[in-house]
Amino acid sequence: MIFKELILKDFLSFKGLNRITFPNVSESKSSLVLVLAANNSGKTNIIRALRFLLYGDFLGHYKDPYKLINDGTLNEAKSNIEAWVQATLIDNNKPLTFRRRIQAIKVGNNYKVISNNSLDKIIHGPKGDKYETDGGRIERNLRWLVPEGLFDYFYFQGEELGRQLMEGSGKMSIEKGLSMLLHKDDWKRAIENVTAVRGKFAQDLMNLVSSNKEYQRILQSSETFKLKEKQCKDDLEKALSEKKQTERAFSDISDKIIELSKGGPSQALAELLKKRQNEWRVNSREIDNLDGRICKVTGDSKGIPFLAAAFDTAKEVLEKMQAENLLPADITEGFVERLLKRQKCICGRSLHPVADRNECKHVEEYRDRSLSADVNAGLLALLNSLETSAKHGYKKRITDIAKLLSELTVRRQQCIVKQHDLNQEIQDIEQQLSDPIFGEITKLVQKQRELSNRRLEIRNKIQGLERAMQEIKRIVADHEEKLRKLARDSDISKIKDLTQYKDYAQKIEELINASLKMLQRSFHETMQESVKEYYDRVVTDGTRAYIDPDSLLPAIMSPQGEVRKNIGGGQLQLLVLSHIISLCQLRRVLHEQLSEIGVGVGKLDDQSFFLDSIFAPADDVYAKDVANFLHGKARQVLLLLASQQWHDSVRNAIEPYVDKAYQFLYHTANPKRTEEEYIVKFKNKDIPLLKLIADNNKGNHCAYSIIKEIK
Amino acid sequence: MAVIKVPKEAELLLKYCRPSANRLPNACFETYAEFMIFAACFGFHKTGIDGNQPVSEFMDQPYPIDMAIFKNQNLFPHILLLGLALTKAHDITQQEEMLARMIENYATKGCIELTKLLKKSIPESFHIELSILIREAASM
Repeated sequence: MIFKELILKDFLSFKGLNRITFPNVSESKSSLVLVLAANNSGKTNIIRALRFLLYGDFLGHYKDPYKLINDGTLNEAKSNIEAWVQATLIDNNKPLTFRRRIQAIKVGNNYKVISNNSLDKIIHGPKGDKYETDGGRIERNLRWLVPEGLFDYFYFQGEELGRQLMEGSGKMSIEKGLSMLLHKDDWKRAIENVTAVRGKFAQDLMNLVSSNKEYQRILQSSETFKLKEKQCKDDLEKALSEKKQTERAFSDISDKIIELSKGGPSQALAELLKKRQNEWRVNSREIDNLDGRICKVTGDSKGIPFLAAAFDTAKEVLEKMQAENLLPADITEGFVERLLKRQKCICGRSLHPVADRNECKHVEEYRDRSLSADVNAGLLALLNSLETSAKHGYKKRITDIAKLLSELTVRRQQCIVKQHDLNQEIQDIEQQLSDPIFGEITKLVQKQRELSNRRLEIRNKIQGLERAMQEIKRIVADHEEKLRKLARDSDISKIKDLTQYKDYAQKIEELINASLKMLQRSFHETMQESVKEYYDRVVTDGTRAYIDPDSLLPAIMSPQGEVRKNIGGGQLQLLVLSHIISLCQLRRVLHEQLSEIGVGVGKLDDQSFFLDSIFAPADDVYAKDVANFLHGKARQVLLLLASQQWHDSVRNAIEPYVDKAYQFLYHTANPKRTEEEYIVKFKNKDIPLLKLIADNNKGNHCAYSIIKEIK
Repeated sequence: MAVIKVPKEAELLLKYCRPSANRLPNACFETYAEFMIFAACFGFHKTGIDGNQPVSEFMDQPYPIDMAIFKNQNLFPHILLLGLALTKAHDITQQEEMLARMIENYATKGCIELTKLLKKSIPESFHIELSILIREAASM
């Protein structure tokens, strides 16, 4: 949503018609509009006016909305009074003008509001403007373009937004806005619906089988284990995420140690430590890999090397069977059995039980010696494996297994020795770097050691959870099998159907859950990368941007790997700016992608930002960093600055990129102020921000601002 | 169809089977059936023909394993091989119940020996002990 124009008439501190026109810039470019104002002259009222315009918010004046009208205008009014805010937006290359107004009449010394705050669409025509009452369409569109939960995010006051982002506080907290962005409520509703459907099927099933106690018992147990499985899955995901974070923190600390030690006496040690740690990791993975392979070869051997002594005897018996024409069994036991039942010879001729007694006896004898199909196949496989010359014979296999195990064991032994040496060497280096003369590095090494231990704990936890998960899955599968059998036994087709529907519902539930998690994870990863890209490049204190995987709110990670939210000043401003710019870009991409796959959320244009007092909490150095950061990051930025924030470092960084500038000329009768105090420099010109006016109304004069373009 | 029961003596060794809830990272056996055959082969290796002594104590869990599972996992030729070596006659191949008892008997002997070995070693490196046993048997 890009603004073309914003007009305020007699709204709050602005008297008369006040206009801000935004420069027209193409998609790939960015524009910066600067507004300079004296302190307390109504900068923030621009953002309030926008909230009123977009959502009809009375800004706290619900009982007496006429207070939104400028005090001076109210005082001077004789009868009807009107205030309004109007904007022209460029949405997908089309202009859209709309106005929200408030009208009142003066009744004695009081005011009565005579019109609601409805939104009017303005159609510009050759015969003048036409007003059309919006039937809710524009309102809906505006709420879609800028969800109310995200308003404070795009049009914000520096400190207030910082608090909301770090603490998740606020009337409509940003956290809630971010949830809206991911349509989390819709996902949750879908999950709830499917859960309800599954519950309904489970209940119907329970009612149906209430007479079958065993079925009911297993069904209940199965449901309990399914809940446990879900819990276990969640815990596992959390542990995996923690593992990833710990690994990242470990790696970040490694980089930080290297960075801190550059050019110093500890440089060689720090580089060696990193090298050895990497070797340790690679070697550790190699040991795990070798262990896995040894386990597999051992299991796959199926104990055959222990049977070598049995080979000759077994082969003799099998060869005898071959000689007696029993192996391979051309005619199996089952076939002979069937023949006997029909009283036929193996050649097909009918056998008479009395006349052909001898023949019958032969067939019966043959049946006694004939093999079942399974045994026949097993014996043939065995015979083949016992052949000395066979390519996959037992003897060859035993030799191969022994050779492979021998190689793997030797390699493992070498790795174990190497691991021991590396451990020793790492400890020695850590010991040397623990000397207090290395200052910060000592603390980082200590922290890295702690992270290394934590990594081990998480690894064990993950293994435990994986085992538990496998066992639960086995029990659930076991239950399902029993339930299927019981349903078959009792021949209740309805039970089978309900069981199947319940299972389908569960699968859908799992799918929705997994999809939401995947979306959240992908969103989180992209945000993390993007915010890091902006923030980490600018800050110089070694902190790194960190995005909470659940809330998507920002924090910073100290060089020691601690996540901190209690930050302030310019650091906070940088983090907040990085976060909002990343989010806007991501939001736009998300909409584009959804639009491409046919999900009707529509495309989003670039987002405009109104940034109020963003330098207030920042010291000189950070103010300069923030100012430098702003350039070129967004297509439309309106910067509201108080005169005291317009100091040299900010001015030098911002001025070259300003496309348009405005001054709020504050009119006041307050004799404590002087006009000279509020003159600021812009492009070497003196810009007055205060105008003293005569108090010709016996102390009842109202201060007001007017907006003027600085040419 | 005949079933093969898991002997009591296997209790401490089941954690080296992957389906076990308490399985260790160095579990070697993909299935309980694979483990039973390994133990039976080792039992035969250790005790020879005399090892086929009946046993009576079995575990409730894991459940007895159907002979069809051994057939599906290509473990049946091993059972036949043991049977032929033990009886020196082909008749046993048709008697599944007898084959099942034979596996239970030898697996018991194998488990006793493997448990002794486990108690002397570190659980985390038991797979190495097993690989040494295999290599030793292969070199004989």
